Amino acid sequence: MPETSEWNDEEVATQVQKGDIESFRILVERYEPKMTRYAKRFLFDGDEGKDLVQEVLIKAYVNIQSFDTSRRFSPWIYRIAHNEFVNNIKKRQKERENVSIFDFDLLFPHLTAKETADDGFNKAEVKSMLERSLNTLNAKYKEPLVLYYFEDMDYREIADILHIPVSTVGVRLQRGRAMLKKIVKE
Amino acid sequence: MDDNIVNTIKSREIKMRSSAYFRWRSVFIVLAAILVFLVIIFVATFIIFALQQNGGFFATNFGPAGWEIFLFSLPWSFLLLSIVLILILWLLLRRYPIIYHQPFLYTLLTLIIVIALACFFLSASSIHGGIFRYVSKNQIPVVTGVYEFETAPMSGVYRGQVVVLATSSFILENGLGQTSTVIVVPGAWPELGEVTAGDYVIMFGHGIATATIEAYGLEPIVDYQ
Repeated sequence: MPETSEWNDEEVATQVQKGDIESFRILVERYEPKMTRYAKRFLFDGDEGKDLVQEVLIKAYVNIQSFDTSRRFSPWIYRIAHNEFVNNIKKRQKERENVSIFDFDLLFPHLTAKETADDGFNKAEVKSMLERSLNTLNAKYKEPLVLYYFEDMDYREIADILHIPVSTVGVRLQRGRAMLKKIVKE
Repeated sequence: MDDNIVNTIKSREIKMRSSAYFRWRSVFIVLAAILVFLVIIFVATFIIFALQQNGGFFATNFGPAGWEIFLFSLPWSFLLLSIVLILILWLLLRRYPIIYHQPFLYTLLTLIIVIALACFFLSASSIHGGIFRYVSKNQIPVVTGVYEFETAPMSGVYRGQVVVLATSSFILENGLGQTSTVIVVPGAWPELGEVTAGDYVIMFGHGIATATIEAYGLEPIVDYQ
């Protein structure tokens, strides 16, 4: 039997589901830095970011019985974070137009969903462009880019976090990269 | 922060929601979705029944004018209601990967196909015929009005009972007790010979004089009244 600290996220979550609060500390240790980084890229910095991350982790604890241990833990907690951050953005109002309930991207099927399609950009190049242009990029395109390039999620995981079709993830990444290129050129 | 969060959970006595809570929530969502689906089937079969009773379907056999009547015969409020119900069903189910992994259009098309198949296998008249018969005899607020398929004069479609039958004409009595003479044009579809006195019919034609209708086609329908 491996040490508790060697357990994967899903095994730790199973322990927490059995009522072991202390095991939740391991998940907090693993995900607090990731959530803080994710919040920062959502433009939540300082105390507001900390409060939101704390809220995400508490919500993860409260709802952990809804986590299906046969699936990956990471997209599940990122989904909670996504909801929390989006709700907060809505409260802020100023970005309301970027976070609509229904998106026409979700209406029609898309053909471009190849994970290898990177429009001639390499990963480091996109990361660097993204770091510089986070503030100017539309939230709809920023989030898949952040999840793909900074959180190392694959298309399916991003689809599970954002609750959108996998092909739409591909389209948003492609459009996001094109927008980044345009922003950087300007 | 990890200590902070775990301590907050302990100190504020934050309780984990039980697995039963999530199980019951899923059961509730699925039951709500089934209920909404059944209501959609009820509404969709009503639309079919209404088009059978008001002659909308029959009118489509008679070219562009018939299609125009079909459009006017559509119960638009019920069509709108079914669209709203489909959206509610989608909102209820969109939390499941099988739904959100599909483009909305695919989900919508799948739902329409499932509803069409359900309507095909469930006879619209077996569901609504009995209700129509009941509300014709018993006045029930709102419902009686919904099951009112009497066509307007000069609308192009007429319904009623054949009371007297002649070689190429007959007397038609509508639901309001008004009678009209119906002259069936030669070659009308289907043959007048298929109709007998006492039958309830739906007709496509036009008024040519007071209480006189020229019919291009007619079809017997079930009398529920």
